[in-house]
Amino acid sequence: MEKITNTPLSEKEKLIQAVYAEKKGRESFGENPFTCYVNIDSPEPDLSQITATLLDELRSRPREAFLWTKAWDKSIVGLNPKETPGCHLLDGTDVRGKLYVPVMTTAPVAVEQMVRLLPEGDLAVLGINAEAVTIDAFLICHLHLVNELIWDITIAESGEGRPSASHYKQAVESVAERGFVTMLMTEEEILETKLRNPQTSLRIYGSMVNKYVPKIMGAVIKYK
Amino acid sequence: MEKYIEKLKLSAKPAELSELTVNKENETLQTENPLVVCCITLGKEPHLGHLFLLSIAEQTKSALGGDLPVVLINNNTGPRAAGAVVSMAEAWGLSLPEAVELMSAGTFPVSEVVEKYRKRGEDVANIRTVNELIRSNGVDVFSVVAQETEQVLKQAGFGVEIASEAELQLISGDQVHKLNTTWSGSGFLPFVQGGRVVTIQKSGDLTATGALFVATQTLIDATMADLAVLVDDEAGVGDTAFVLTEKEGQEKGVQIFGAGVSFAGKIASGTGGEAMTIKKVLEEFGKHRPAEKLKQATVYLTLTKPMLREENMLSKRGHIFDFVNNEEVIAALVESADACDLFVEQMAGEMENLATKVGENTVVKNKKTQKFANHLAHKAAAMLMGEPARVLAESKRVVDGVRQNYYFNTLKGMRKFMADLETISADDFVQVGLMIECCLIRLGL
Repeated sequence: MEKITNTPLSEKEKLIQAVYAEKKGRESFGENPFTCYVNIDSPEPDLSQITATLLDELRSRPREAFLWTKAWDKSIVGLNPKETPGCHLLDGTDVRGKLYVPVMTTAPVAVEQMVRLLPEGDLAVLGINAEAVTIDAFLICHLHLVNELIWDITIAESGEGRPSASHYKQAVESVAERGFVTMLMTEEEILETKLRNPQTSLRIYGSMVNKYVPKIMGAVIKYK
Repeated sequence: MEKYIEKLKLSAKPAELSELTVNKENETLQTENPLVVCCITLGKEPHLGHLFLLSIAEQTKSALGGDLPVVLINNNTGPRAAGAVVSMAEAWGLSLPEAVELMSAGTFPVSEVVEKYRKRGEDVANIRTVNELIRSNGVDVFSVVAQETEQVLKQAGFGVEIASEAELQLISGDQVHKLNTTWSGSGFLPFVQGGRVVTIQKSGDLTATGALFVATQTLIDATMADLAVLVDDEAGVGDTAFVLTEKEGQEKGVQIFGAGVSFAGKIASGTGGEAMTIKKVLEEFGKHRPAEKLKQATVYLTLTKPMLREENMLSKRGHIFDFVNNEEVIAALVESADACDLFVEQMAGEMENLATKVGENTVVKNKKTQKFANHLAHKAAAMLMGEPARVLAESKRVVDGVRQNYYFNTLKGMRKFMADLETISADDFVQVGLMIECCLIRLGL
């Protein structure tokens, strides 16, 4: 496989800029009306449970989830002992959001082990940047990539028209039904995949709130 | 075909019970060796607001008894302290380790340290480097301000001792990880109990609450204190008291609210405020009354002056001592010093007067007073034993804007009682004398 490790920085930056500019029908500005709180009770949470609760939450509230996604799926990894572990999609004005204490770790965790325990599906490969080694950084990447896959399918479902909540609902159902494979990839591998296959979706981390989240969070590589 | 989401649910681990379960004993608060603590950043000279905070701390310490002095934790860790060092290094062309060393050696005058603290640098990488230098060496970069403050407070009659937060962290900073073994080592350390979360460490650094907890716990261990009373309004102080209590399963930490200072309703304390420094207060007060009476004057003022309860002052503080300006503060303190002396004299006078009423039995003028007289021996015994739970509960109460004090209120009750007596038995006279003496000592007047 041809490596692009020596790609000049400007080339990489250009690619990042192009991906960043590719909004794919999502809002550029404005407040996110919803936030997904990922409630974890240890630095090594159960990734299967988190993923399952995310999909359950998005399936049960597709209209809200659609709006959340259109505004770049704001997610916070937090700790709230009064709530069950997993994902909880809350309205931006919901006071329950204040009960989550943002988790900000610095130590690497065994993300490979967590990924290995996930079941495999056949819709796509989610390639998470291997640089995301703290648990909060890793979960932010994982969530955004799962939702990137859902959004890609939403766009496909909408055909030439505008994506709607019903398209989003179908997309979530499809992901919940068929699933995906999750793996860790180096940044070079992610960029190379994008260069080779323009249909690959990259997800860029724009907020920079968590300094351990890599700028290129990962890639969604769809099976043909 | 089995759905992917069903596979996810099957591969999820079964829920486990939370690790942290503490059996909290429901017992009456007792203390023989209380430690009263407050925390101030000595990057600048403490001001009027801090004078009131320390007076409330002194008042609390006197009320609880014990031998330990009030401890002022010098908050000399974290980004603000590091920012002052960065600013000093830039101004004098020093390397960061040189600036840390010279500041901790007290090389620069107070004015220079204060100026650099006010104009502290914000370079994230440099702040991180300095933080690490302070943490690994446990040095006090505000040592020159701390030394001057300790001297000023001693001159003013305070028995406050200053402890360096950085040094306390160096002694036992790693103890914090015992609070939560699940998260230990991750760079994020929550203390979780009863649905409440207190963040002790985040992004690898102690939070302000974490730093205060470590400092207080180290002081508790060093002094063998059985109760820590933290005086301040900040939410983090309440969180620290919560952690101290919950980790032991019994009340080991209590928060007592402080009080802010305002001039004509506008917050006067703080960096941008107009309040004069304690050093200046001492200088001005000393022109009118002996300097060493400043503590007594301030304590008496906090016992008697009504505070404002302003919701719209954009202050986190619940209660505020309001004055016209700095000059009025000095006048009020001078007046308070005189009022305090008068109060003590009056008590002595009333005891002398009571001596003239000693007879065979205690005879009172009305039934209410009779009830008090009947329980006099019991009340005196309880008071002499010390009643920390009542003392602390009372100090959290505000009536007509005035902070309540168990012993001050008892003295007021005693005065009414004495005025209502026809005669008093010799035994009761002794009890009354003991109670009044106890109250005056526990008031620290």
